[in-house]
Amino acid sequence: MVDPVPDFEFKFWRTDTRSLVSALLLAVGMTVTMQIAERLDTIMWGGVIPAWGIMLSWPFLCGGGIMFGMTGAIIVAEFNPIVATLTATGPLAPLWFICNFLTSAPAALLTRYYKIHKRKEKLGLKEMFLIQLPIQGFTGFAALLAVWIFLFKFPLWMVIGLWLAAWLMGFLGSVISFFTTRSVIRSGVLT
Amino acid sequence: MKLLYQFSARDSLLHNLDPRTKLLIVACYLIAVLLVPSYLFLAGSFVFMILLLWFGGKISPREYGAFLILLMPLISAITLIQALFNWPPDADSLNIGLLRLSIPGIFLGLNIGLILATMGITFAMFSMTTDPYKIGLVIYKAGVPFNIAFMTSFSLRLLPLLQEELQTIGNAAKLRAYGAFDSRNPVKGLTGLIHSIVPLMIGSLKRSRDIALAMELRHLNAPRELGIKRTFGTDVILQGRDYVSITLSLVYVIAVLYIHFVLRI
Repeated sequence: MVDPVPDFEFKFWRTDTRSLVSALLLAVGMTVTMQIAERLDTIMWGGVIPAWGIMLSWPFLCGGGIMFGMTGAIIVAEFNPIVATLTATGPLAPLWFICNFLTSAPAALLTRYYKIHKRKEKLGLKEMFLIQLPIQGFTGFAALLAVWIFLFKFPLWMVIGLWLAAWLMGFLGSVISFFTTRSVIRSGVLT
Repeated sequence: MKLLYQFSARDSLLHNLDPRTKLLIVACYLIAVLLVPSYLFLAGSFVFMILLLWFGGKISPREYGAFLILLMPLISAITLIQALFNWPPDADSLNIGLLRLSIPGIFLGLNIGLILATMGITFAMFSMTTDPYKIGLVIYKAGVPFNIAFMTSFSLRLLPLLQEELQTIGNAAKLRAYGAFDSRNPVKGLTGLIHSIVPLMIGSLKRSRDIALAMELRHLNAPRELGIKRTFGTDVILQGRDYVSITLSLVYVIAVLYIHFVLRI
């Protein structure tokens, strides 16, 4: 039995200076990590699929949404694409504006749902898998699917293969994001 | 060696230009690079930007050598993938042993790789020669709310700091005989990166507490709350060299597009 994420103070729209700065620092942390992961994706797969990028960005995107609500979700999601596009980490970098937000926003909404409607239940690994992974997977990978089908005109078998690979990395990212968020909240830095 | 995109304070032509001028130079340069799909032009643009940074910004390529080395496998991988999978009708092929490569794919891959490399080095020129504080000031003067302008410059300033923090985490792990950071296997290296996420996040959030307190103590929101006009210690004003640089950039992009689209050279 895996312990759930401990209780913490959640506000959907946070505007205090500390939350904004914290979310921004998470966004910069994600950007630093993505500078390595996205370049590796470009070297390994020509940037066609952000496999390592998905796995390593989810902890930051989910963490931003869970800990700092929608404000955090927006800040964490939208800073990396600016730097990624300008520094050309991969050919699909401009797409991250949409993909990142469609991954971090469901995390904020899910946490809001749990904090308001299911106060007695805590956010655990099961919830991450059964609710967050499918929602974030479908929304976050939708833009990628569109690019593979309409822009790159990949054959169907290749699109399905890439989509499954993205899901696999999303699955790993989901596990990492759960344990990462739990460790960060447990450390007490949010209080 | 400096961290990539870290501002290097010098007294040079590029450093003394207004951030708006440099943004326009970057925009003109990238328009030309994105619209002219010639690998010779792209390679020339890439080399020219390195020379501009060297002689115009006094920043030697040795200072960002790691970035240049990283670009080689990136360009090679993109070229190889396009050469293997991009087969337009009637494409000529090149056989190397068992490998059958598409010649249009090789050129397309080379173009994409060089575009990415030139974009990367052009932004490096901007970020390495522009004080993040001035970027924030320019954004604010453009009418963007102060908090957003400040956060932008603040995050650009923090980018190299957190890159350094990631290196420190890596060094600490190496001292404890954790081999993933030294490994040449990229997947092992990524394992190290996964293990760095929690310390990086906790370190960032701890730092944010002090930064937010310092910002509040300096009355970050006071001008808005009290209705006072915000004042700054320094200002950004366009000067003669800026107007010359803007004119040259516009002439350059118009000339390149004219030569490519009208004269078809």
